[in-house]
Amino acid sequence: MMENNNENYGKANTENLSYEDLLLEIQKLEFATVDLNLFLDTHPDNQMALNDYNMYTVELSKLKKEYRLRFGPFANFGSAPSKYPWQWVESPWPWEV
Amino acid sequence: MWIYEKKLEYPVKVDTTNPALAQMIMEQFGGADGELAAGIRYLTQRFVMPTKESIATLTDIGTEELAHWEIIETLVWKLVKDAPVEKIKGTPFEAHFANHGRSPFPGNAAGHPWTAAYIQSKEDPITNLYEDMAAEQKARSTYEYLIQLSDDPGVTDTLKFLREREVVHFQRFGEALMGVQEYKDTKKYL
Amino acid sequence: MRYREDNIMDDNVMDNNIMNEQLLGTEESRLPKVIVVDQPYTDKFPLDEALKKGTLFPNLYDPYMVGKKY
Repeated sequence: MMENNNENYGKANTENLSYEDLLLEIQKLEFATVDLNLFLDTHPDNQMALNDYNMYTVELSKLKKEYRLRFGPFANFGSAPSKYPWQWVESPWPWEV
Repeated sequence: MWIYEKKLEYPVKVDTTNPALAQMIMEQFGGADGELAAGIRYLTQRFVMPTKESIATLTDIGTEELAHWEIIETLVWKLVKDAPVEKIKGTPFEAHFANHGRSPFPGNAAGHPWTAAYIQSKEDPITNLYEDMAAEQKARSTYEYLIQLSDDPGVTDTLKFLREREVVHFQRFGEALMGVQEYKDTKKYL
Repeated sequence: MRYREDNIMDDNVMDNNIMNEQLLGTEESRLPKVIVVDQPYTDKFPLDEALKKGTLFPNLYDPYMVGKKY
């Protein structure tokens, strides 16, 4: 029984969200991918779980793209290019939010 | 290899300044059953796992534990960063302050520095997985004591999240153990 | 010998998922054996609830009530 597919998640307009609110949307989606990732590690043949993981991952990458456009790289070491001057050093760092 | 995302796994909110509570939460920062021990343990044990599922499980849960370590560090920091010395004196955090000021440091609630003696890794994957299941139970119990001690709603919220993650990890290690046992039994008959 | 294939939630998720069985009568099975019940993939929490609760899966959710001893 799969009543809740969270299928429309992430498709709402995120352009007007504050830094903190956009981060929260990313946290919600990425957490779902973490829990699904761990489930798949012990159930690699579960097609439904894999479909959900892929669906969330696609939505998550859209949110991260939104973040990058507005705030610069979301992760380090070649994850994304930066504008000048080097954006990665910018606040807020996670404990400053 | 690890890369770093500029976010915490959970949106941590701390509502008060409370050095005494911070000192207790350090139990999960540098204590025997805390997140650093969990992360290092799993990331060390993964080399001797015989199935790809168990290698992935230890790698990914180990990685998540480091993300939890970061959350605990954040809780401790937020609880003390604005505490004037008068609010630190007379609390269990005073001894920590004498050594480190307000800086976080990986030790337990009693102030003992973290040690690899808290973890074990043997070449037997079944031995390791039983240790991992025990570790998750110990962490869960510790979070329950911390939840009882906390009077900060934001802190309690975060502790409840972290406690539930231990429940989930316990299930995953149990499943990994079943897989490894099955693998061992199949090999016996080949 | 009786063991549970479903994953019914009682008071404690952990008790349901671990069973210590003694299989009697065969050479292989003189010793106790721990069985972990596999998690079925059924329902999911909505995403904001999942983050708050600490899991996507209702069948792994084990809420803690302060004062509960264990």
